[in-house]
Amino acid sequence: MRILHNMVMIMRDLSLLKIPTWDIWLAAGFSFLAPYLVYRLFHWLGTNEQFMKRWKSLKSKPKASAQPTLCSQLRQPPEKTEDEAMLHRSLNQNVDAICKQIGDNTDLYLRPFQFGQHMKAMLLYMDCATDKQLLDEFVLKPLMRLSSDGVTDRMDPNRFVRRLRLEWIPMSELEDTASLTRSISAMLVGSAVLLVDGSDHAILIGAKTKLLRAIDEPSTEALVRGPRLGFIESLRANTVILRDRTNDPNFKVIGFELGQRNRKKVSLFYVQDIAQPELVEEVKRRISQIDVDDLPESGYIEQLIEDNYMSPFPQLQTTERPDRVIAGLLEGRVAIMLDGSPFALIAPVTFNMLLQTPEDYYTRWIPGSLLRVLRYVSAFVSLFGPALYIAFISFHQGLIPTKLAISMSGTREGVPFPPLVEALMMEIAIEILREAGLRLPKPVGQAVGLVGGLVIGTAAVEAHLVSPLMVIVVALTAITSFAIPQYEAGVAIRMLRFIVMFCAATLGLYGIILFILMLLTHVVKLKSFGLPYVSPAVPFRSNDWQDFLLRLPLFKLVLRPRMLKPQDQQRETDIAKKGGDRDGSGRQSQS
Amino acid sequence: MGPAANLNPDDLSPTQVAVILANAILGTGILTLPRLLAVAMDTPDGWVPIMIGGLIVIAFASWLVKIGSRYPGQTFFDYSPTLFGVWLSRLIVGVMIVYFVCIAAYEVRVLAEVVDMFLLEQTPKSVIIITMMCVSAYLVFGGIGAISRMCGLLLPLTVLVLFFCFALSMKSFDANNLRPVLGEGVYPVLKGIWPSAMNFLGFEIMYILPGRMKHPKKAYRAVWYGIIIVVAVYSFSYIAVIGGLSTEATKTVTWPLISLIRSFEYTGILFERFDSFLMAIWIMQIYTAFMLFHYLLVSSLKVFGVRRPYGGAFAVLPVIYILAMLPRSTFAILSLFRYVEYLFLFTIGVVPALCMVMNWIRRRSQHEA
Repeated sequence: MRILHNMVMIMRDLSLLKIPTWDIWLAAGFSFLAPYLVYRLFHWLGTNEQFMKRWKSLKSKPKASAQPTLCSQLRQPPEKTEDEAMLHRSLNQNVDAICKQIGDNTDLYLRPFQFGQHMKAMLLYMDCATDKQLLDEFVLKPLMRLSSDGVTDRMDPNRFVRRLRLEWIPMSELEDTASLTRSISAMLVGSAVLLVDGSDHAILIGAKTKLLRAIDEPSTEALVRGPRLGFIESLRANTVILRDRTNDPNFKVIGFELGQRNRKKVSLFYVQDIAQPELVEEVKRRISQIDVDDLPESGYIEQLIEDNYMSPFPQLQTTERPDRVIAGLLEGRVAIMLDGSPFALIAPVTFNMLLQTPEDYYTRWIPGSLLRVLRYVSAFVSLFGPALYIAFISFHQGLIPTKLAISMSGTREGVPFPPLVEALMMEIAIEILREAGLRLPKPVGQAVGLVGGLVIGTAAVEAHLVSPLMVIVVALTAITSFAIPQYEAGVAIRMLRFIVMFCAATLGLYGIILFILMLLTHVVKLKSFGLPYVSPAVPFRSNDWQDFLLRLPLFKLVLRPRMLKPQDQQRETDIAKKGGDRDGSGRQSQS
Repeated sequence: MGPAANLNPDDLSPTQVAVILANAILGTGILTLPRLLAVAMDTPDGWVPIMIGGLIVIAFASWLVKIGSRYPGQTFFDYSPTLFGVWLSRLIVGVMIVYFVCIAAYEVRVLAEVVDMFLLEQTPKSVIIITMMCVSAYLVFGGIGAISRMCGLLLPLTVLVLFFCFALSMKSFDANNLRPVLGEGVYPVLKGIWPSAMNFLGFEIMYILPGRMKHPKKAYRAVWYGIIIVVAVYSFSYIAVIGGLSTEATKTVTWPLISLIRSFEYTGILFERFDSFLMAIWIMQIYTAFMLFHYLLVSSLKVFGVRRPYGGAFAVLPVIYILAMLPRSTFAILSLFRYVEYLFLFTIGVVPALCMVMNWIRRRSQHEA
């Protein structure tokens, strides 16, 4: 009886199952194929792992190495490489060789002169690239005087060149070289080359014409409070700015020369006893593997060394502000600057940096924190505003308050389009307006904004093309996206906004949640130079949270962000100092 | 992984283990547990068996940690071939895989039912299930580091919003619904222990986690923290539901917590109803629970010689899908679920016991040799 009863029970339960019909089999096949094909597609486009493999495979052959410093050069002169042409002892042959290579340039300038009776010499430089006033004042004038003194007769030319360099040319940037190739490349970037007959050494005189614009406040990162100071296009000037504002002996500058055709100077900045040494090594390695013709902007470097090029998020922070760079360096990050670009790159990036401004630290902590929270809120609205509107209008009228639902459907009366089309029209229109306003001169740009925003918006509502509520939502997202301080982060959010709108239009609130999960998945998988992109949020470190959503008072921020694994963890803050003093005095009194 | 990986290795800290554990457990139980307990006990004392069940589960999870910590740096699926031998381990893990597939199918099907009922009436369930499975597959590739970060992001959010909802439900809370405390003695409490312990399923993730920690011994603490979070969420949701709806009403509704949140309105503020918040959070929790079972499945395929998990992660999806679509109705899912309980017992009871026995035998034979 018992067994029979059990049999009946099992039969009854089996009847609760249905036999899978063809559509279930089809969907099952789809559930395998769809993700698999997407996976193959992205694999083909290049995944994170592949990209990381690229780093690995290139590990053996760096394309450039850090420039030797002058200190190391003085101890050990640079070695000769194979394909380097050397200078000859005869002046005529040297000049011929140079003319053969770059003689067809109209701006090559030769200035022959003589020391005493016999010793011929030649000063070669590129017209305009070299500061002639400097040459006249500090090279030609002393040398002419020297030749009239007549001390030069019957001296070995090589010794003479050495004495010239050490004793008679009063300029700081001199280099002694035996290489023809080096001389020519130095000449092309503005050095003058001094050749003396009978010597196979040349003196390179650094007298470059300086093309500098005035230092002013960066227009893309304006602050209400903070130094009105931005980087300019000269790496030297930028280094000066940074040096001027840091006088820590541990502040290090490592130079690189990159680019196969146009050699550009790239510098890596870090504070030696804070930045994690592995991080510095990794950045150096990635920079040294860059192999391109030319680096017109630091954006090239950013794209060539970032971890994942399929990500919508910037993995290096760009900034024009020296104070931001220095704050990053003191947190244990590193900065990269390229000659010719006012934009510094800060690495590694975590997502909270995209919503911070230096001002958060300059104002008092309560307004600073509140403004920061406001920025998080506006990022959220900017990303999800239209999507939530679409989802609630087209799927879940039941989830919004009844009165609101009635008034919403009232405003949509007469609008011929579904909410997605309505939202897309307005969003695309506002993106176009924004792009148009960006390129136009300022007064015209404002006019475009006015015409677009006011006229088109009102007219579209009156023509019953869109509902007034939609205009409010679109205006709100546009304004909130202006509140995001980083341009790149703003662009990422603008892109993602369209994707989430489509998700909301197909699956409603569920679609939005799936999108959030996808986005979070992408972000938790993403790493910037080995540091997880979501770092301050998780893994949870209470110390890092003090400076994440809120910015606690300065004296509370005793430790540097621990996610960066800084070597010197303790910040010198007011309270920490006092605590240290008290401890010290306590110990003294005990002993 | 690239050379940058060694800058920040993905070793789990005890906190992360606790968070993953809580995420693996919290899933369908949030919505169904009050009804299961009300049906099984018929008294409003469900919070007692939840706590007792929690303690029992802590014991079992610690048992798993104890077994796992013998093999530091290895998950169960790494060391089981050396422990049991290849074929026996394949048999055992095969049964476990059946269990994992069942639970994964159960989670997504319940998700599809709830979403179908409350959010998308017209969308076919297959779309809901397949999209969720795809999103899960995307994360499973990220490895345990990415999974731990994901869980770390979602758990605080979940707990925050859930307790916010519980606080709001104070509006319809009536303490009389929870009285009398232990009015019918201890016997109903005993009846409630099994269903509440069943709702802690998901802690099988502890087969994997100790092997991913730097110090597996610290996993004991993590188990306590993780389960305590779950116990807190479960018992508060139970108290809120029974207090708001009463035992009798709870027995009759399928998803009591949603019914509770839908039963009150706060007029005058921006959101009058809060079930969209609850739904959002609950979908995320189902996602993490499903994703962790998916991850368990993918890692368990190692025993069968699948070294690179990419193909396997996709291959299990159709199986899960077909199984999820088999039951005819919500009632069928919930009543068929009791067959899974045997597999649950096997996975958390029989397998660890076998491990202990095998360990003992190995040690004996080593002593004699």
